[in-house]
Parts: sequence; C-alpha cells; structure tokens
Amino acid sequence: MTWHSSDGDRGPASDQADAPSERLVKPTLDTELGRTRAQLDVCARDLRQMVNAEREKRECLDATHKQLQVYARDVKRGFEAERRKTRELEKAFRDTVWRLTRAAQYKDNETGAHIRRLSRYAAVVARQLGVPEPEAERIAAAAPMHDIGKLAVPDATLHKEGPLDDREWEVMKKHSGFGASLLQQSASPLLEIARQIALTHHERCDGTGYPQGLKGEEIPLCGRIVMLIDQYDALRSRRCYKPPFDHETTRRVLLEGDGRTMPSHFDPTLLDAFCGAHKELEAVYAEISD
Amino acid sequence: MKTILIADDEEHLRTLVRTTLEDSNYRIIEARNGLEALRIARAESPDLLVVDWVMPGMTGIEVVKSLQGETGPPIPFILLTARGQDWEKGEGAALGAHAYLVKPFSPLELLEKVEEVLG
Repeated sequence: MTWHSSDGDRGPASDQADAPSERLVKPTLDTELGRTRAQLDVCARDLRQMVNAEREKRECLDATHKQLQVYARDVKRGFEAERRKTRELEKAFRDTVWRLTRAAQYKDNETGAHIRRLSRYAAVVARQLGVPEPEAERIAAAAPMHDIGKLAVPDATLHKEGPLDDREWEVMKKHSGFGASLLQQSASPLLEIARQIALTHHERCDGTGYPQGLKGEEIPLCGRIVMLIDQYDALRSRRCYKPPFDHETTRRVLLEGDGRTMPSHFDPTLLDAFCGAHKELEAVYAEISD
Repeated sequence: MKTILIADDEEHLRTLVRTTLEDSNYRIIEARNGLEALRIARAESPDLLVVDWVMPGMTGIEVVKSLQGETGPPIPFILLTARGQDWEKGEGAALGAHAYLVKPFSPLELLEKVEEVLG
C-alpha cells in the first residue's frame, strides 16, 4: 500500500528520480512484509488456541454425552425393573386372592372347577360385550369371589339337604351383603369390582332379585355378567333338585325360560352377548370339569 | 441424614451425581477441586466421599491420602476416573476404596455402591 501511494504521489512527471525511490521503497516493503507475517503469526496462534479450546469443549461434550447415554440406559433399566416388580406383585396379589377364594370354597363343598369356569366365562362374555381388555380381565379375576359371603352363612343352612325354610332362606340371601362388606373399602380396583359382583350377582333385570331388588342398568355390568354365567353354570351342573343339563337345554332355558329361570331376569344385551359367544362357554365347560 | 461430598472439577458431573443421590435422602455437598475437597471434608466430616481421580491442583487420591493421615475414623470413599486402568484400580483398592467407577459410570451402580456404604 505505502509504496503504491508514494509512487502515485510523485506522479508521471518525476521519471528521473527512479534510483533513489527504489532504495526508499525496498525497506518499506520488507517492513510491511515483516509486520504482516507477525500479524499472521498472532492470528495463527489465536486460531490454534481457538481450535484447542474447541477441541477441549468437544471432548467435554463427548464425555458428557457418553455419561448421559449411560444415564438414559439406567433409567430404562430401572423403569423395566420397576415394571417387572409391579407385575410380580400383581401376580402375587392375584394368587393370594385366588387361594383365599379357594379356601372359602372348602366350606361350600365346591371344587375349584366352578370358580375357574366362572372366571373364564366372565372373560368371554365381557370381551363379547366389547368391554376394554384391562377391565374385562379384572372382571374375570374378580368373578370367582362372588360367593365369598357364604363364609358367614351357618353350615347347617349352607349344607341343609332339602328346601330351606323362610328364616333359613333369609339368612342364605344375606351372603351377598356379607361378601360385599368383606370386600368393601379396598384400595384395590380388583377387590372393588369383586365387591360389586358379590353384592349384585343375585339381582335380576326385572327387579325380582336380591338383596336390593335393583333393575336393569342399576345393576353394575359386572354383576349382570356374573349373574348370567353363574346361572349358566348352575344349569349345566347337577343340583339336589335337578340333573345336569346339556348345553342346548341350558341355552333354551336361558333364552326362553322354564318357569324358574326367566329371560326377563337377564339384561337383553347380555343375552345377545351370550348368543354370540355361547359356543365358547360350552367349550369352557367341556374343558374344565369337576 | 448422611452427608456425601462429591469432588469433581466438571460441573455437569457433580450435577449428575447430585441428582442421582439426592432422591435417596442424602445431603450432598460439592467441591470443585482437590484442595476444596480437602477443606470441606475437614470442616464437614462427610460420611462418604465420591471423588474424581484427575483434578487440577490436587488429585482425588492425594485428597484421600491426606485425610487418611489425619486423626479420626477414615472416611469411606468411591473413586471416579475417566482412565480405567489397572494400576489405578490397584492403588485405589490398596487405599481401601469402596468402589472404583470408570466414566461413563452407571448411576444405578453408583447408587448401589453408596447404599452399600451408608446402608
């Protein structure tokens, strides 16, 4: 820059002054080059420092990133362990409930087959009705507890051969309420459904059932389901007052009535579901026998 | 409540360790380098040290050696290191390290080791 501008200062007229101007320009050029080189060195050093700082930052970020990956992996691992534990606890809880239900059945002289079938029927009918899976599964798990209140019915009444008198019948009918109070106020959704089933599985759609004489949709769906399948299983089984019926006879009794069991006892929607899934119920009965 | 001193020159790591352990009812205190770790350990007598091996000024192992030379019961310690070499592990074990965790370490393992020491 400087030598150009000094050249320009002298202008085209000063052509005889070439030699001294050469001498003046050369050192200026060297100085400029030196300065530029020094400036470049400073820039290069700064650049190197920046690159190094950048590299350090990058290494630090890499280390942080790796550490966070391990954290993420552990979060997942911890979460899965938690979920596994919850599942195990749920299983242990269901197992305990099942065993206590079985224990209650010893008093009733029932085998486990009846309540195992009931659980399976409940699942079939609930699914046929389009009940969401977790709920259907819960109804199936709760159904075996429907008669748990029979624990509070005296043996003389429970095991009496022949018809019950009015007083005995009143006591017998109390098993719904006994069951419900045994199961009430639980934090477990399973036991809450079991309570509703225990309380309402002898209610009838036309209001002729017990203990409250509820009608139609006043009866919780789980209660209506268990009422129907309990009837199906009772009709299929031998009772002191009747022989076991085959599937077709049972189906006809439920749909058309026989004087004792009437179609008006059942929710029509439930009867539709029964018609849609009756083959599956038949298969359950055939698979699980006493 | 048990007190844990974390000594590491990387802030993000101290934060991660604090987050990992704080949930479990431990009081967490932090030191940004070896000298600070030594000063805080003397003042607060923590129940456990979680100490990084490489720190500017004074290494984690020097902090532990200094504290072990002093009176009072030895403070249990867990070593953190980015290098993960056998000689380090050996030296840590010789000084009685409860655990030797190589970065990136597993937070579950850290929690487990801390619980082993503090119960």
